Amino acid sequence: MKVRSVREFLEEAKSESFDLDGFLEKVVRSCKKIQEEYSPFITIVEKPSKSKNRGKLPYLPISVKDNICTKGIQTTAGSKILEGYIPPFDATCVENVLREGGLIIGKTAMDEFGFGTFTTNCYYSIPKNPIDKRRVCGGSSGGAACLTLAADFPHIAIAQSTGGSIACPSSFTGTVGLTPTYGLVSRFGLIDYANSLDKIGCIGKEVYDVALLLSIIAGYDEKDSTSINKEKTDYTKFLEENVKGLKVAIPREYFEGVDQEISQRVWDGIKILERIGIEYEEVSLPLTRYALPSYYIIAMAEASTNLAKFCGLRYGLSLELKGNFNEYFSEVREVGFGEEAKRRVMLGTFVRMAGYRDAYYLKALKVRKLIINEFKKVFSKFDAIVAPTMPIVAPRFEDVEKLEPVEVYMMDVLTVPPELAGLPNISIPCGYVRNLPVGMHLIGDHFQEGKILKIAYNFEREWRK
Amino acid sequence: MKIEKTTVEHVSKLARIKISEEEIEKFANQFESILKFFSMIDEIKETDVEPAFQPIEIKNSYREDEAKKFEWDPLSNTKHKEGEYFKGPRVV
Repeated sequence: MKVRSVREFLEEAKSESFDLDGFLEKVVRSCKKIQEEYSPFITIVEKPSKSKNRGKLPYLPISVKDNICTKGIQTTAGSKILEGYIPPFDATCVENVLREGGLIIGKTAMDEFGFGTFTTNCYYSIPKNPIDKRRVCGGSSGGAACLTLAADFPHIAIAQSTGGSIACPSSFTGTVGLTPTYGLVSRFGLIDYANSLDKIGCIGKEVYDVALLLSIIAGYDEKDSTSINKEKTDYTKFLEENVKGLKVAIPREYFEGVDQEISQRVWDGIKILERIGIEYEEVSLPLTRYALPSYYIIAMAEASTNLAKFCGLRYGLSLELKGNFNEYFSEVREVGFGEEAKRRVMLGTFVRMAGYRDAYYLKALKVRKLIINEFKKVFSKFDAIVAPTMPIVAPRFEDVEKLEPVEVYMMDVLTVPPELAGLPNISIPCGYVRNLPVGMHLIGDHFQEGKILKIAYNFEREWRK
Repeated sequence: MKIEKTTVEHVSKLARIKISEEEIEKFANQFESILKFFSMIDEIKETDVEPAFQPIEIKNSYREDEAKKFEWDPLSNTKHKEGEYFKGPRVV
């Protein structure tokens, strides 16, 4: 049976005769079935609260990554240390969805605090790829991508990315993942990983879906001091715009070390862009290789300070109060954090230590500036950058287990550079390698979401023909 | 750079995370390869730029310094409380 698209559903849901209770019952039943089969959820909401308001998302099922606070619904960020935490407030993006009539149907699985590339570093459920259950969904928004693909009902996922956590799982599952410009969507209510890198975005079955959800969640919020004061925009308006004459850059460095067949599929995609009137030119971005180490230094440094709030007192895991403050603090964190969280907090502490701070942390911030400048130069001549999203297709669980931490970090080599620079990006399916989806990555200049969305939309239409 | 077990122990104390003897050993090895990877940025000699603390420029954003009442109960998620206060282990 063909699944209704979000667009078709929203038309239907406007009708007075729409059977909401019947629909909800079906959705919850379906979520449970999908959970048994692929485990994308940490929490399924049995009775989603129904807003009286039928705004722009009437009764549309929305899932939320579990590091985003939902009032009255357990929110764990994938960590044992937050087991049982019930936020007394909604994140701003969730508030916006509820105001427009959306239904929060569940909280999706993720790597602990977003520390991972495959959604296998989990205290709770590990999602399986609906295309091949022996393979991972990618991470860290793996549950969001898994559910988006598996859902037999209309749905869009609220996801979040620090260094590629939306693009990677979208690429591995053949879905569409949009990460907006840093600061476009309020981070209020997000359990931070790295404040200067975290972005809330969306994953959907098609480009229209992510454009629609972005229009709802983007916007200034006085509760987030890094939120950008821009006027509300309807991003779906850009989709039908003409793309003829736009120019995209193809950076050579992004094809080095990439699976040959993946490169081929992305080049097929570039030819499709050419067919719809977009010009391309190869360019070089020589600083690309330095993005990964700078990113990890900055991300871990920020994570190590952010995670200091988990001290077993105000919320989350707590133990019997004994010993002095430092002993208690250290013990709660020993029990509550997984191995990768401990590793990142410790490395983040190390790079900020006296004697190392300038060589690592401060230097990384300078490299970041140079990388931003390099991107800006490209965007002075081009409308977007096109590259493969990931250097590999979805790997098997057993292959991921064998990787050393530093080898896992290397997997983010293509998604990290734009994320380090806070650039909006979108991963869209552009073909298959050995029956597994390949993602093509469109990267835009700051606040040029409209541009990359319209390229993606026009590409999607042509590709599906 | 060689990472000694004593360095890992020192960092774990600073980071307030208790770790086992086994983890100390494992982390010492892993930190060595991760820090080697971090050191790639040494190849960049150009340092005459402002560090980018944020990816986009953000001006200080202040709001009026007015007390507001909490709309929610901050004590709703803890069992360590007494009256209107959080209760913690002794500090000194």
